[in-house]
Amino acid sequence: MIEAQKHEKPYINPYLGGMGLGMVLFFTFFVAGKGLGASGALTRMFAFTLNLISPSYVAGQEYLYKYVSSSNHVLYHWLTFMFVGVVVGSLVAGFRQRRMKVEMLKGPGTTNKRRIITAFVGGILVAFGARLAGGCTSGLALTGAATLGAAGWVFFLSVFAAGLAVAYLIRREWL
Amino acid sequence: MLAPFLKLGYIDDLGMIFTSIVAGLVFGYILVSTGMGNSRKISAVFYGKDWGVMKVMFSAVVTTMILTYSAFYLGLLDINLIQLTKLNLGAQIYGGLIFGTGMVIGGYCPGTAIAAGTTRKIDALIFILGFMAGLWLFAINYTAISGFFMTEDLGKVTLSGVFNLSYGTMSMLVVLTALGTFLLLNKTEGKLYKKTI
Amino acid sequence: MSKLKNIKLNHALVALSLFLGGILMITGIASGNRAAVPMNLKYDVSQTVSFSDLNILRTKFKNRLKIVEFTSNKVCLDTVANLKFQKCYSLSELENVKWVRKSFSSVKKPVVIFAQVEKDRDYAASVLNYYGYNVQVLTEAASTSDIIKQIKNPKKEYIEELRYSKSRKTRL
Repeated sequence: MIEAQKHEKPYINPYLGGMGLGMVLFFTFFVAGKGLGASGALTRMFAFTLNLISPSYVAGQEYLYKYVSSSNHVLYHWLTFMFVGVVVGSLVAGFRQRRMKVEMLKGPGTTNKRRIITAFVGGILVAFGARLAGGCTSGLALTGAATLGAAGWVFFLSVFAAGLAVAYLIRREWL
Repeated sequence: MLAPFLKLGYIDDLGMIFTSIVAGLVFGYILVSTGMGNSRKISAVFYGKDWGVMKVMFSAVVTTMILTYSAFYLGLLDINLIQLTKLNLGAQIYGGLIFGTGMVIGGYCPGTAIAAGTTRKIDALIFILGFMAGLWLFAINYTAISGFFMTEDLGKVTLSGVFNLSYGTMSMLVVLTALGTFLLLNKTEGKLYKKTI
Repeated sequence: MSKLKNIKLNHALVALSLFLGGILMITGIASGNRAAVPMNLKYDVSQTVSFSDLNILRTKFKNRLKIVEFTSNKVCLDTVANLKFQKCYSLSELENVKWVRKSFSSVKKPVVIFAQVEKDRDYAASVLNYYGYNVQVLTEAASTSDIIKQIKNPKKEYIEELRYSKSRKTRL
């Protein structure tokens, strides 16, 4: 099991943490009828930045254009505000639990260079998969599964199937 | 029916902003506290070395589910107004497979990467850069991708509908599945990959 | 010591989830996929309008409202005026929440309710009120054709008001 590092406070009970997550998710359901989400916020920020650089390019990309062309500003959205909250919440927890060390987390058997590649490639694939499926673990798997949505469960099972299979192939990176 | 307030017009934009920020705060705090801001811990779930990701996710799902359907049966919440992603087998299966591959290679998912990046983990920041690159790749090939991967839109399907059980019964089944899974997890932690290279 | 505490806590959580899950299952079997608690059906006196108020409402909301008749018959007898905001529905449809949400997509649009039978009108109004809609009950008895006539031929001053307010860009 992966424990917290020596300079950090230990990790809290995952079941309690999960319960807390569950309660806040219920809170968002009850108040707003919406769930959590992370990939959506990143997508909006990406579309926004790209639009600043070259609006004409974004106009030509159907998928991105729909974000910047709605009546509200692309960043004026539930998910963007949630992103801000996540950053602040992570900062508070990070400082309180002494997890703010600058480091490159990687498996014991790999190098920084290899880790840079795996992190970048992993990011590409996750983005692809998230936008294709219509969410990420927070938006689709958590929120969807909690409402018994078949989409969430199908996604969740696929993620784990692929993860377990590919894990074996790249075990040198993590074990 | 009291809830959801936003959709029923009881709170305005300011309330929406406040709610999402607060939700994000707790979300980020819990991610970091449970160790979800650590790519080693996240990837370990795919090796059976550390089941933390499963424990957190399943507990969250069960908690929300119980609270949500209790509120529904008490007549406090209209379940039809809660967001539900449409089922599209191609999109969710292929998307999930690609996502899972990326998640074990990169060691993060979008939410955890944000949390980890905020706590100054360089690999998380690189992951986010890769994420942006992936977004761009997806966007430029969008028409081809949706044509190739996506299948028939099946609409808002719930497990309850699939198995023809009530929300309550289905919830109990999920609870039992979760508890059974937890039991299995506790017995098998660290036992999958006995020999490392 | 903390490990023992953890185990005891986990046992307690397991017991709690089984208990709550069990209650949900029993409720689900008994009540299916609808709320188990009976709806608190009522509406306010302040939510009533008279026949002549109809035009005031229309100008105020710039026709972004719904004027709905409910009937206990299977089909509405009078023909509907073919206006977007004037409809006639069967009372039995209200049993299905999904139908309600689909037919009345915006909670902000006021719904003026009338029916040939006062009991039907009150029932429909209180159900829609329960679901969070801005319900306005038409207190004066009026036939469907009367109402359609009034909608199609509003008084002159209301036409002016309506035309003027339509020209301004506003949002509800």
